[in-house]
Amino acid sequence: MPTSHVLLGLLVERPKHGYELKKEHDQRLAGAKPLAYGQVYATLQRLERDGFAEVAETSQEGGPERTMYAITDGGRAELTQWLNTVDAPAPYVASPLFARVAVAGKDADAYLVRQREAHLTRMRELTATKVAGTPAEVLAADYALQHLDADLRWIETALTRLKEDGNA
Amino acid sequence: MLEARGLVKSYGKALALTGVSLEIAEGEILAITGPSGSGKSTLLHCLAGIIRPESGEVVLDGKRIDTLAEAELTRLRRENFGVVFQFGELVPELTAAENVALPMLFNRRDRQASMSVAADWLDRLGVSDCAGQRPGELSGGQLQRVAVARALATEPRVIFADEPTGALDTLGGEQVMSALLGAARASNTAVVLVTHDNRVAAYADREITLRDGAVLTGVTP
Amino acid sequence: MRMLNRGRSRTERVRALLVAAGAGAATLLICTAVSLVDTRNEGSSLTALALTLLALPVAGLVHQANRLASATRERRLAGLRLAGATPRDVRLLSALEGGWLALSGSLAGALIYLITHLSGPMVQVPVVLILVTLSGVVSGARAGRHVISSPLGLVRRSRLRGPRKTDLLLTVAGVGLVVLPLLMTKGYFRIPVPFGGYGLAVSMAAGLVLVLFGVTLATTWLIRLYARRAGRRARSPEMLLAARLVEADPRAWARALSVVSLTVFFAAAAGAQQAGVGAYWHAHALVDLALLVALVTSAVALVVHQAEELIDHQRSFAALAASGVPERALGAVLVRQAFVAALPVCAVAALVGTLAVILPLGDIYQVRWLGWAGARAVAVAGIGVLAAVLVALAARPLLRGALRLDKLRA
Repeated sequence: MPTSHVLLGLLVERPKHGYELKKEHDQRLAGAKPLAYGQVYATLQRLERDGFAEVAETSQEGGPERTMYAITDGGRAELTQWLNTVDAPAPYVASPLFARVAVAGKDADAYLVRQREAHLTRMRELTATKVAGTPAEVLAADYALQHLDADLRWIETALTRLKEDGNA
Repeated sequence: MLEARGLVKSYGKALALTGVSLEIAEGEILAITGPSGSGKSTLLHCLAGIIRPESGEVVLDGKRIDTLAEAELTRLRRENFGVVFQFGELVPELTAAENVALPMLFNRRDRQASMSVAADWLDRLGVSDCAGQRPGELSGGQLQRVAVARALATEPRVIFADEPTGALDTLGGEQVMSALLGAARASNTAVVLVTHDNRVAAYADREITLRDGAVLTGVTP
Repeated sequence: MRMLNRGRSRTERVRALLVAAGAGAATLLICTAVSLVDTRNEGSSLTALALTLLALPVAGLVHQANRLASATRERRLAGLRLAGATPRDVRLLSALEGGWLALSGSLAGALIYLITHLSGPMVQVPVVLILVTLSGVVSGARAGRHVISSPLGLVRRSRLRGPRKTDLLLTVAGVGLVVLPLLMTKGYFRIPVPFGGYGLAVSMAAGLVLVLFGVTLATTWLIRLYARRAGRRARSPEMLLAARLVEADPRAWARALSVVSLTVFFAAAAGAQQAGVGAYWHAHALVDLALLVALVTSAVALVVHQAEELIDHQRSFAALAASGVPERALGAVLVRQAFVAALPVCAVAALVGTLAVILPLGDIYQVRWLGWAGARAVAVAGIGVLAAVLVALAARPLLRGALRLDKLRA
């Protein structure tokens, strides 16, 4: 998870506290693993070291010390570059699902059927959440669903091919 | 509530169903998936009483319906079942509202009452501004939602949907599915859904996969 | 032309034969009719009228046969289009084919007439020949039109829903050609006409053929109006469906009913005349017989139309059947359609036919004759509607085949 860039993206709107950043991250990146405070501050310090963020002000209003961070011009440039980066579509096929089938060969049948069940159950759960979710949650659920669907369709293809190869 | 026991059906020399059994409870949403040619639509048509199986039974509330006389079976379908097809299959010369009202009219309800119930259903499915338009003027998603309204308007016990989102894109399909299932759950109507799309099947409570005319169990056949 | 002839199936040869035979029969009838016209002898004039009337359904049959595009013919023409022929090329070819068939048939008919009437008048023969051939050309051109819109052979006809301006022109011209000679025989005009009495009769015959083509205008509009009203007031689903289906395609119904409406028109007119002219029973009977034959042959047009209707509505009817609408009800829809389309047409045709005779005669017409005229008008209108309804009833078994469910498979 390119956390540093995500935080930069959140800072571009206005300077924020670490606490705000964590909350917004969890809200906007629905479905992702929630960010730990420790990780937030570690990332912020790294950003500061690299010159992408700076401390805006330190307030102390009778409560614990809160440091507000702001984005620098260097940070803005770095963010723009990251937003425009096109990832090379996965050159390697790295998936435990695939690995198991590659190893088991035609004995993978039973495993595939069970994995399919698991995928379907998860898809049902995700679909149910979409009914009352926030737009961000729906978007995240769609992402998960469509990737699960892709896996599922590969599983079905694999089952058919294995059967054909078995008959051949 | 609705049961199939050992259904067998062939078309000429090709076996479409090789002994399928399943059960649908009141208000349950069931998806039937499988590759094309697996016999999904045939199974659906048997369950809906549209075709008769060669052997096996279809039972509704404990009474066999596959042995009923044509006239009785037609009436039973009219009063208990609703159907949604892949391409809507509305009557192009009638307005959307008239299309929705038509099955009610055939159930001998009077015109004014039928039209107002139809308007109500169109509103519930979010297509009330289509009421006076003809099917030719509607988009795919709107068409399907009108078709769903038509199926729901007679308050059936089961709705049979054959690839309801097949002709739509992802978001259009989502609209139709949430409209259909939202309304079905609200009135405790069962839905039997045939689809080859896993994401559509994920809307159901339960799923059954057919392969080569038989139900796929834990082990590949 | 040779391309069009290559690869003809048997049904197409039958069709070609029908067209040629029809043209021949029409030629023979009209030539004979003209020879019998004698402005002084009412009896033989009536017989002439009867023969001309017989020519009408024949002409209608020819036109229908041309339209009866068999699947292979349509596919061949579509293939031509895909190979690069323009719509005009296809229409031209079809027109040429129609003209060629009509000419050869007409020649045969003319020959028969000449042989059997060696002593009689021959002047009208070339005129009739030309007219019949021309109608063959026009009919072919119009039949070729509906392949144009979909060269890939989708079975959608290019549906022209509303009335067209050429129809109006044709009707007016046709009516003019018929009325003018009538007025002249009554002494209203004194225009020197070529061929004297024959010229008048020929012009009447030509006028009638034109009217046949053009009458679809008025009936289209009438049918649409009545269907819309029937749909608004419909209380049963069968009536609602029937009315809306007719309203959506009035032109096809008008075309199918064109011969029926003309038959009713002439029957009513003949009835109004009969009341006054009592003596010529056998001539009247002949006229009635001709009308009956016309009605029966009009059934062909109606059957063709019913078949096309079933094909067009197959999917939506099958879907309705699947959701539990009984076949009986769908059959009732077909019957009601025929009723909704035929009723206004026959009623108006009967009324107009009766008035067409009564009004010009005005004060000569005695009130007591009105009774017979009126009764006959109602009767013929009823028979016209009955004919349409009977065809629809007979077509119901076809429904079962149309409702076969594999049509619903995606």
